[in-house]
Amino acid sequence: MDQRTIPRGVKLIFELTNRCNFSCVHCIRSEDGPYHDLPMTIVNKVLTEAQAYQPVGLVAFTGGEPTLHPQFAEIVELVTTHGYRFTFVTNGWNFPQTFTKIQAWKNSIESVSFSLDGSSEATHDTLRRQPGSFRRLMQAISLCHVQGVPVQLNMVVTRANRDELEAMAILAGRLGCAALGYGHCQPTPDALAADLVLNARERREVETNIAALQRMLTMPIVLAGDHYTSARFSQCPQLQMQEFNIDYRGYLTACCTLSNYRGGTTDTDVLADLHSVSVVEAHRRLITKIAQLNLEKLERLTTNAPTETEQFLCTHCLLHYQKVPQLAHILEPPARRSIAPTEEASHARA
Amino acid sequence: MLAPETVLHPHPSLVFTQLDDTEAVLLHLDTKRYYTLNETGTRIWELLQQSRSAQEIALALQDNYALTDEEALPLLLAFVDELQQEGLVQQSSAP
Repeated sequence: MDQRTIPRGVKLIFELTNRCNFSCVHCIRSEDGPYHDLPMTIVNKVLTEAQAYQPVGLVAFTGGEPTLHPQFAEIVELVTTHGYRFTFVTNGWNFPQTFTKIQAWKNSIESVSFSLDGSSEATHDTLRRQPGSFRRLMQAISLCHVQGVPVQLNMVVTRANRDELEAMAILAGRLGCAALGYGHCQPTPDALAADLVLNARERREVETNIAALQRMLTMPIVLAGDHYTSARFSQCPQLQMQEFNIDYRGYLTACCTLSNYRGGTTDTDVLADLHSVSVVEAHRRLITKIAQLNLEKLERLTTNAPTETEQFLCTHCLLHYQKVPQLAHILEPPARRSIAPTEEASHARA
Repeated sequence: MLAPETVLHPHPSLVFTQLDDTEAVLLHLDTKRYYTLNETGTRIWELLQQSRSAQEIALALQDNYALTDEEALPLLLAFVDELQQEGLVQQSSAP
């Protein structure tokens, strides 16, 4: 059986550091310090305590730029010693050096997720504010291709690159990538100010186009995280407790999207400090929080019909955790934000 | 036939990645095709990046790999022929 098909068990996500060598306007992470690297003792504690009561299917490293963690190779070794496969996101800038350090465990790499925000050099380098980043990423992908390491490309869909969805899929296919992920640009203050965030209607057009690509191509294409749903209590992997996020300070947080959210209220999403709290107790707090979230959502639904913005999966949590104030209409065109839902919008929700 | 003074340049759409001391990979951004280079191919590519003429590259190969003139030039010509067929290099004459 191909070990890469459907990991059985939960996904443990470790934000290894909040440092990054890029400064992308559309990034959801705050660039404000202080900077921390997740202690390796916390990684070991979580792996050990989690596997004692539930199967772990996959370990994922995020950041910041996770490969900047000074013990990245040691952490990779630790994870593989526990018998797990792993994946990590990266901008690919230092990938040859990174790969040299972890090459011994390359057979345990589920995939490397490269952040590529444009099918063209110009689009990617502009969005990433890093000249040469596209070509460095292509070098990284070439290296993975030769070494037999599966690659996933991840594209944050913004107003600046939304016309490149199809070109990105073709690029990923021709480069021999194992998968392609798209994700909506989140409404951080910086991304909104740069006019990169699509409104609800534009987001739904993007989702329609992605669905068309999914039908046309055999390569797996996913729309990660936030997306439109007509269901009132749709549950993401975090709310289903299929994914657990441990931040760079060693805290269990509600979700990887909310963690260290740029421009948002800090720490409202922190559930437990794993330096002093057991994994089981942290899990207990998560269950309580999820129940609270669903009860609060029930109250909102019984007092107000959801706006179009609120029918995107992440909106309720962004509101609940005070990551973006006044979010309820933020994805709607300006003319509509201050008035009641139009007939057309109401029809769309029916 | 490649003249000795010919200078070949890597196509601007090529991305070169060194894998280790002996291997490298090229990715053509226009065609999205990968090409792996062995040790000799990697050495020739490095010299092409330095805008060396065919004659200079052949001499360098003789030095690096203890080849004779009769061995180095055919080796280079065969390799360059493949590169040209794949559109990986562009040709110009040395000033």
